[in-house]
Amino acid sequence: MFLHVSSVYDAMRRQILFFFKVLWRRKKAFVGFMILLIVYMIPAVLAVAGLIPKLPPAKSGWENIYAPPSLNDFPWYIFGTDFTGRPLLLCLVWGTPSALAIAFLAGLFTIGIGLIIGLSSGYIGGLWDSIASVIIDVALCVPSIFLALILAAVLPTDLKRNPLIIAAILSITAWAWLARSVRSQVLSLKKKEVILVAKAMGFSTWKIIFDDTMRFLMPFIFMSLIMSTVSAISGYFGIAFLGLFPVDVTNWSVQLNQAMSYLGALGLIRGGKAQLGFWLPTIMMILIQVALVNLSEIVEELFNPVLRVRLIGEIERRR
Amino acid sequence: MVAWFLAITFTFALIRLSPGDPATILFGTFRAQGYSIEDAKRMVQMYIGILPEESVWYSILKFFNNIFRGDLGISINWRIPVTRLIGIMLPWSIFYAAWSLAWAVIVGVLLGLLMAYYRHVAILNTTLRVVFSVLRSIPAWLLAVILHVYLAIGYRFFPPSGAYPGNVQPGLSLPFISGVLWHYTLPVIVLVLTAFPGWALGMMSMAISVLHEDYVIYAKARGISGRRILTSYVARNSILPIYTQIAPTLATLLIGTVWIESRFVLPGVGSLLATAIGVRDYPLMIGCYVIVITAIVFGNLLTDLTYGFIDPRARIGEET
Repeated sequence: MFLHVSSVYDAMRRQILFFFKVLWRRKKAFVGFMILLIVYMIPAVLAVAGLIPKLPPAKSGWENIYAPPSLNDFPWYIFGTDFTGRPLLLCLVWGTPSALAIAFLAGLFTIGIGLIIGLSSGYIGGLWDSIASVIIDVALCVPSIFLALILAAVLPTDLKRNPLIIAAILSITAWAWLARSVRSQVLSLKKKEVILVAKAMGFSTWKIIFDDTMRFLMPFIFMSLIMSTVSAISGYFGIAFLGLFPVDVTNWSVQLNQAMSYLGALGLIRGGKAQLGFWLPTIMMILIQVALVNLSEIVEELFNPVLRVRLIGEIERRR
Repeated sequence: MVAWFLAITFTFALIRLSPGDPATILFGTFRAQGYSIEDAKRMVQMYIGILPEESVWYSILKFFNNIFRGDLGISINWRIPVTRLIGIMLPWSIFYAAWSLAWAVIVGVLLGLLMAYYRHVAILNTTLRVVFSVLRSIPAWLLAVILHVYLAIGYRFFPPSGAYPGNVQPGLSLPFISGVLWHYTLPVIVLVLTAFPGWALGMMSMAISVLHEDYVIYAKARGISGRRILTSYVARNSILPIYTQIAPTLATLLIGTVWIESRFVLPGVGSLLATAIGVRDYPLMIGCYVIVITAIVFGNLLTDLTYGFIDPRARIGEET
């Protein structure tokens, strides 16, 4: 079948317009999206595209460590410097690509494994269902962050530089609850007329799973994607805080750890030399989670067919 | 039981087969220190009870054999049996987890009930929603760091380290107990602040669905006071899903405290595990893992067994 480029473009345009339309209706989600875009995504893209200067070499010396904000080399020194004498803002910005990549990859792994095991065991049933149920039960027993902690301690350092490995460690048993709830939802969906009709019409198992069953699970899946991304972020920085991932100034957690030791050891709370170094990484770590949690509020509406038809109709009429 | 067995086997095999296999790494370290191959092998065997060349399945079988004899190996760092170390530390962790969980559940359940009852008050609802979404976004370890640096070290409102004052003799005396409670105040606040929104939201959604039940509407029509409805009609029925969560959460809290216990320098399995990870004390790490997994499995079992006591319907269902 010949698919016209402009029709694909049109469909994409409609999807994106629809997304923003829904976003605009919910102010909280809109704020979350804007934070995500401005504070995290745009800096990450700029950093990967090479539009942001590389980190300068470390500068030792008392006066260079946690230096107060200054305007030279605008805007990189507006938050002063970090524990290595590098500009703090630049370190924070360079931390966005890896943080986003690890969080998103871990979310995808969690969702992927959970969906594959949950859908297949619920749909195929039989022996595979019993095996999968045992696997799910085992994984439910093991808290993901706990196993991740031990694996992060055991694995050699050069492996832990790879975002894929870190994401895999973080999602190692996190998929279990998703698999279990997908499985039970599929079991109840199996009795729905739509699925029975599809079966009677002779569609293949996989087509039914991906075309008909997934449609009902979509809001739930996206919700879980956001939630597992959030917990991956918290787990990643938590483990990095214990110093189990390679020490890297662009890791917000490492920055926080150093600022904390500085504040704690020198008792300079009231003097406040490392205050910015303490609070900015903290805010970076918390804000991304707040933004994602707020964004998750529109998931339900995004996949609600009634609302979808109405809004797309509105978009069509306006053209 | 099967899950317990498989969970430990899986992790043990994963660690043995990964590039970070402790036996190989220790062997490499000893070789680098100039021991002969034979001596290095003997040293590894002495440290973690595993020979570098023995098969994974053999070491797993040996490990389970030792577990059933109550032997988890000897800590590399302290040179005393892991079971004894954990035996000393576990009561502290259980106390901390149970004490903070009790507060989190009580605050969460009461707040959830009130939120469900006053769900039409818009200001209360939106404020709490914003506060909850922020509180739920802060990881417990991050909150622990912030509060520890500012309230304990910076302004010295709370004791920064230790489980009880240094000048008090442990025992069943008033100064000791009050000292322990005082030293655990800030750690408990950390866990309660990060945990209670989850309990409150769960309770609220359950209570709202119960509030729509016919018998509650009927009770309202009979003129029963709002307080009575909340306590004896709604609370009793919506607390059941909460109850099934308590034991598993208590068990998982034993590891959630890795960060908090090591930050506040409290005794416990969490700080033990943090130290073990820091110095790569493999037997202690695996020992803590086994203990926590056992606690989780046991917690689930206990919940299943006692569910009948708290929900009479499950009891009747069994008999008919």
